[in-house]
Amino acid sequence: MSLVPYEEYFTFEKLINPPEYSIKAGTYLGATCLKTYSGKPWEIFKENGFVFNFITDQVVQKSTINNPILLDVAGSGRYFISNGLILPGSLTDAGKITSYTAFYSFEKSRFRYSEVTHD
Amino acid sequence: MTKALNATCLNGVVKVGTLVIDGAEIFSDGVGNSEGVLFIDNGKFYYFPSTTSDLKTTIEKLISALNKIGTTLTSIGAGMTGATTSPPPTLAADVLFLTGIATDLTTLKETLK
Repeated sequence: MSLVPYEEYFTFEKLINPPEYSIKAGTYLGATCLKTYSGKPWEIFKENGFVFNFITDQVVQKSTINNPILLDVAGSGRYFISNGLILPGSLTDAGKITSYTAFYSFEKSRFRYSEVTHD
Repeated sequence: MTKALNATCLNGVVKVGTLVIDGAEIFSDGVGNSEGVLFIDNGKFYYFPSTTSDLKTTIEKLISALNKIGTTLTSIGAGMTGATTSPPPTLAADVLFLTGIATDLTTLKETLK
């Protein structure tokens, strides 16, 4: 699955131009909403407990993601490294990952993660 | 970020399409069912009914009443010739028509959207 440019970053094609509101019991990009809310897409995701499962190309409840992953600290503690792109909702010792900033190193063929947030 | 959506209010329940908006604050003086706009402001939602149909109905009834007053006065004036003081035969019915419109407007006022 490939990332596509969108505004000042990259995202998955399904997440381009998402609605700016959700209505409880309605659907948001195919997922059933838990809250009525308006805002930026990541705010709507947070309020509804959504994450994007890029493996299945679906917006899902983060409670459905339960795979554990290990984040290695590298760069003298400045960032984490992990094999591949982290699936949002993955479980670490600090809790479920809900967001991160990722940079890809072509030199080392791996992702570096910073600003990782957990539940 | 505020989002505006077409909505309805039926018996105090606000809906967007078929989805019920629990906890919507309804801004209305009246109790009638209505169509309007739902504003979603982050986690708060406000419903404003459209009162255009109320105003239109009110104006139509006022026009009808004024027209009836006009024709009634014309009829009265046409009978005011010579020594006669008899009212026109349609007077009672015309007055009943006007009081009927007044009743309609009172009802409309009570059921404003």
